[in-house]
Amino acid sequence: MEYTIWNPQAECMDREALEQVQLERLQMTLNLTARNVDLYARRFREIGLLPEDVRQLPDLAGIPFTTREDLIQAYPYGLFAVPLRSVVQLRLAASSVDPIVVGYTRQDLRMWTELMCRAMAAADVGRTDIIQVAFHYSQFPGAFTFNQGAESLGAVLTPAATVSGALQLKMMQDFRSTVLASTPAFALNLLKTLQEAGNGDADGRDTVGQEGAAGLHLRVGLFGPEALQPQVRALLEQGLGLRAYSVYGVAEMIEPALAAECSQQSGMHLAEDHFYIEIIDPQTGDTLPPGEEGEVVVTSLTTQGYPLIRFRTGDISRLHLAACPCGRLSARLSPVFRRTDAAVSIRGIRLHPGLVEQVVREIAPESPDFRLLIQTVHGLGDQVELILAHSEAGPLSGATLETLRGQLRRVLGLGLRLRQAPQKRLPLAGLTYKTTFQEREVPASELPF
Amino acid sequence: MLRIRNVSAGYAGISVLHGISLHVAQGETVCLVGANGAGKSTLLQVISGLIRPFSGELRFEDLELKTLAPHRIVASGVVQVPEARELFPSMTVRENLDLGAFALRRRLAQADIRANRIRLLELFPVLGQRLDQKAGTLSGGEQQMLAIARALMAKPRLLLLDEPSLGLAPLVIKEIFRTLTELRQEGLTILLVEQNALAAMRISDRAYVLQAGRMLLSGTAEELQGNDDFRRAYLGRDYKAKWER
Repeated sequence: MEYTIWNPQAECMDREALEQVQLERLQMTLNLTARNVDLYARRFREIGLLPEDVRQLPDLAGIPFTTREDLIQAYPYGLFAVPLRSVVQLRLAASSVDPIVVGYTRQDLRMWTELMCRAMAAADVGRTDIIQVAFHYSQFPGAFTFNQGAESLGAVLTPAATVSGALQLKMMQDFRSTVLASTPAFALNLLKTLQEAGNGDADGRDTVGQEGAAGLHLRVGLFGPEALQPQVRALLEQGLGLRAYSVYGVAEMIEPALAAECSQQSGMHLAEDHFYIEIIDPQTGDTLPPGEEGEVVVTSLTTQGYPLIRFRTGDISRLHLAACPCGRLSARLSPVFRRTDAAVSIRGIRLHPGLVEQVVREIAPESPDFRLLIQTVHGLGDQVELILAHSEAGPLSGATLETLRGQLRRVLGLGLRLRQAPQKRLPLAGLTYKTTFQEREVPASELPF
Repeated sequence: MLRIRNVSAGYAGISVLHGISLHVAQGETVCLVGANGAGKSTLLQVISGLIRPFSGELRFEDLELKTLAPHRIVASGVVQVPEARELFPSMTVRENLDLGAFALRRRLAQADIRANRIRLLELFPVLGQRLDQKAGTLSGGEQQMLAIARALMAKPRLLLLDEPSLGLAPLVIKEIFRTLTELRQEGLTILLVEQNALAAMRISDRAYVLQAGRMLLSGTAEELQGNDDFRRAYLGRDYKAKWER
């Protein structure tokens, strides 16, 4: 099979050449930030570091992290490395209570558009496609980059930001959209609308989805910013008749497509020529070797307007260096299903969903999936309900449930309500923790973990 | 092809270059731009071995250049056209050209050197008409062409050019850049230092911007031309406040 690679020179660079480029760009970023960004200049001074002291990529570990708090404190222009006359766009990271503003130079926007083109090409989207971008622009300002990418590819762009689900489906059917870009949750919502309409009214006068998914021409789905849970992926692929691809971005950097899946759907290829990624132990801050799970730390290498050095994203993932059958040599990131702050507080007790999964795996391994439902009172965790999916043989036995309940109480110090449901009745969104990395078409022996 | 890492260098205790890293791939034309005194020429002289770096790595293919004598660096395929041309004014054009092949005198037969000279004279027809003229009597542009041709006599695989347009008339500069473009199309790898940044970037695949001995930016001509930091580095203009428009 032929795979399209948007920028083979960058995406298929061998490690040695890549590390040279990364080192050069890292040193330039350090030089620029030491000159132009007060926060970094001060930090370098405090630890007595000159930019040229970073002689190789691992030396970067000697520089303190940049945290979300730093970005908030630097609001509005504290972290800009260029004067406003060089900035062409200011975007607010809307998800936060405390605002963060990111400034882009013309070159920055060009770079992000290029990364979007890479992501689209990796998902086999090309100039013959009709791309329906169904992100809400104020919630996801990065959606504009989907538009830019679509235009750069020469594809047909259909922005459909604030349109209802039913109209989205009508557009999809009538326009013959081949690509859907949205959040996984919104796509699930579309699927639900489609299925409800497909069932039809009693007198058969349904308006949309007369042919169900068959009435759609979707081929590819580009989903972000949340990762696609394997089950969500399966649902969307079946229900909408497309191949679903994850696109990864860091919320505080706003822009999507820092990493994106290729046709192998086996990890997201990182734009390593523009960003240097480290995986660290969130507790100790130590850098972890490839293959190990930890927090993603991003350093921008070419960003001019808003460079970030060792930004702690809070996303938990793993880095894979094994070559991908698609031909790209860039490292891949596992889907991000957890964050360092995944733990929720229930009546003052910290609940680590990973622990729940551990216990469920141990006592009821036959249950294929589960959800944690957190009931809040005034925004504070109050009750936790654990909904277990039926196993193939049906519901779990009462004895197993009792053992599970007891063990959970012992491990978590917290009583959980337990409920069972058929797998397809599980809430679509919720706290689930499937951290398995899909190894489709990549022999396990080639993966470095 | 050429890979430089963390090179620091200077003159008599004064540090000029601070941890420079750059690379030039096979067949690429790369230019180094920056204001006066940024360290561009120093960097070229470090590569060609005329200045020893304080520290750092200089790899040309599998060769570490740092410890090699300048004439061995020439023999390995890295040849510099110096800024002041450094011709032998009282010698003829032909003699100057033949001196370019000096480093190869034991490796190449006389016939090969002659064939190379003939090929070069096709590239620089004006030199062909002046073969027996003293180099000192040539015009500035012709002298620059002779300096380039002499460097090419050493059959370089990486050509280092220091300010080839310096002090020349615009028409002559155009002619020299045309020649460089031809050399580039023949597959020669070129590292070019230029004050005339925009013209140099037009014939280059990539450019690096040096400022006060530090690497500040890199990118293609298109990327850099729209970059205000590039203009600031080049013109030395700075800003006082972030919100200055």
